[in-house]
Amino acid sequence: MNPQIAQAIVGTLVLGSLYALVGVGFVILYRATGVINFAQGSYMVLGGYIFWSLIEQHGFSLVASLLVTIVVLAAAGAATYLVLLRRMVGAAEFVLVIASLGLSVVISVIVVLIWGPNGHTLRENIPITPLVSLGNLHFSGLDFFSIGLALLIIVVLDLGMRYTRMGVRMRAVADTPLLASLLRINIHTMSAIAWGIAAVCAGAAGVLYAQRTSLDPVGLQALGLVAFPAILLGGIDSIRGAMIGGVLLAAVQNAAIIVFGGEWSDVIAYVVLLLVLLVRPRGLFGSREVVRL
Amino acid sequence: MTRRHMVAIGALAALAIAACGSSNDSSGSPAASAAANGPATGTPYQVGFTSDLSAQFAANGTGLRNGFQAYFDYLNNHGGISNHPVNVTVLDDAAKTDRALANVTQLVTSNSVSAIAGFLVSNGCGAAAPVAKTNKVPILCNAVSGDLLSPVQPYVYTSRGLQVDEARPMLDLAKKLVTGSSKNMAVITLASAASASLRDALKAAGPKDGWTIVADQSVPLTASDVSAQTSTVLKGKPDVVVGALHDPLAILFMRTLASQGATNIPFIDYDGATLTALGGLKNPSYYMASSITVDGNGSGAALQHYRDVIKADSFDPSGPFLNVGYVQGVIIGEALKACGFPCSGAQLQAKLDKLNVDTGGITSGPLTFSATDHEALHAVSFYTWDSATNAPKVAAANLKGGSN
Repeated sequence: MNPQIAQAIVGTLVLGSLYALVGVGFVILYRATGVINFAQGSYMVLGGYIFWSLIEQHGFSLVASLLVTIVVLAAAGAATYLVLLRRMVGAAEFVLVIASLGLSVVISVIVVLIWGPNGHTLRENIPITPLVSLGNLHFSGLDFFSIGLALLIIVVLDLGMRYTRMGVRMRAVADTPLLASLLRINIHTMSAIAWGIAAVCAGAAGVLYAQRTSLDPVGLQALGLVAFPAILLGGIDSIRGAMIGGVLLAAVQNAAIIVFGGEWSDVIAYVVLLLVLLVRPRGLFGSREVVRL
Repeated sequence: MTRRHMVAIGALAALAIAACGSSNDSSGSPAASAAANGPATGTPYQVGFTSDLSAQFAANGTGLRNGFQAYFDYLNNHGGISNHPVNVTVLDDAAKTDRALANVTQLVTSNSVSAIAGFLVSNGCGAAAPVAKTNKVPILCNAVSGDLLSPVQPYVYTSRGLQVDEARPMLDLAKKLVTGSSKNMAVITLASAASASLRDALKAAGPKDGWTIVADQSVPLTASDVSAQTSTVLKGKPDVVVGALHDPLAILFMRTLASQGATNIPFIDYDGATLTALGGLKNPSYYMASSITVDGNGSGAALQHYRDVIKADSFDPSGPFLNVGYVQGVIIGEALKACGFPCSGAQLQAKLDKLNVDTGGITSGPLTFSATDHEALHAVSFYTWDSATNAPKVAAANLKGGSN
């Protein structure tokens, strides 16, 4: 295989995994609460900074830092719902979207207040040199870790949403909150769990991305936003769609870079978003009922 | 309204908020620490400062402000300029042209400043140039587009050299690093106007030095992946990579190079990356241009003074862009000293055109302006990571700037 194409494939798998991880957070929250959460990018930043603080400032191990970050993010996500958004259950979607935008700004400011505006760089906690080579496909330890962790989280969540009682309850709450409450499903508990899961997904993506580059309170959010076209491509209520959409978007971006040049990577992402909205608003795997004309 | 509409509106709103940043205006105030000469008590000079303090480049903009403020805090606490303190009014432009323009107008009309510094990104400097000219108030920009310096605009200055003038020293360092017969060079730059100028200069001057340009890649400022660009670079089998990537992208590029098995190819980066990249990577193959000391370390009274000034305001001398802010302070401060009190913008401009300050090693060469040259610095040094000492070291000092 052409080395250039081969490495673009590796990059696509890694970036696609990150998009998918953020995207799955979007989807879980949307399916469980009906909220399109634009604060996902901010939770990425929060996760990245908590992880950096633990591993670089407090000397935690990689695994301990990751686990503590996940626990803190889950708590932060659940608390966000219980403290701020609980009173908005049943509000119009537009109101909830605006609320999530406000939440994004609040989290970003909190991060700056705690850790300051300066960028930080994580040391190479996971080897970045090639670990496994399949022909011209070279995967580093970090590549494996990124793809593997993303896949693990996504598969567990997908199975959980499909086959566990909690997943069914979450979907019931999303479909008809009133009916769900009549069935004695605790709407607030389900919603808080969904917010926690969404925050964990974003935070994990933030950790994985920060491990590749550097942390700064504003720049990291860009990835959270670019993940949005990915979930629209896959289908906003489909976990598998988010996963495939993430990889497809990354593939399209990398192809555009190779064919047209680097300036096109972000443009292509939003062109994809517009095309999906025009041609197939429910995405590749989205439910037909999502569109109500 | 359908759900589709809401999704689209939400996406647009998200982008708008991400682009806007938030307001964080503040005003400077003298430090409280006692001074050997005592705090200045006379009528103050008025100086303005505008930079991104809250948006995408806030980390660097905040460093720029802190270095500038620290210089004048120290000066004011040590007698000021003939007992006149310098009052610095700081405003946040969030890297937006309209905000920068409004700030400059406010500083000129309401604060009656003699000069305005900061301007982390070139769009603000460009927007302020007409106001500066109309009101005869010099502006000192960190970043400026080349057309504002050639031909010289009388009230527009830059505290460093143009990015395009880093091409010659980059090529000189490349020549020093690559001694074999193979002369393959790859170029990778940010997709910005200034970096495009540097890229063009490298592509024009490189072949004259015997280099074959085997790859030419561009990276958006907001890129989250450079694997495609990296694989294209490696496809050309370069002996050296030169270009312009700011901290996050420089780190991403170097780590992607390593993940693709290329750990020893030197990458010569522009004077826009900071110690965040150098210290974060700790990679001896990474070289970073800087016309100003990156950490303040070294012997000599001037460097000691730099460290004292920055630390007096409880900042870290190695913080990003504090060095640039400090140098902007030196330029304005020295021109005000030469001007006397009071000093109008027009009077200060005349003194700036004759500026010649030996910084004692803080900068690569002296800070100089003339009526036909408003670039303060004309040489750059290159830093890399010294694994033995686990600290930055100078790889090449004071290489003369130029684009040919």
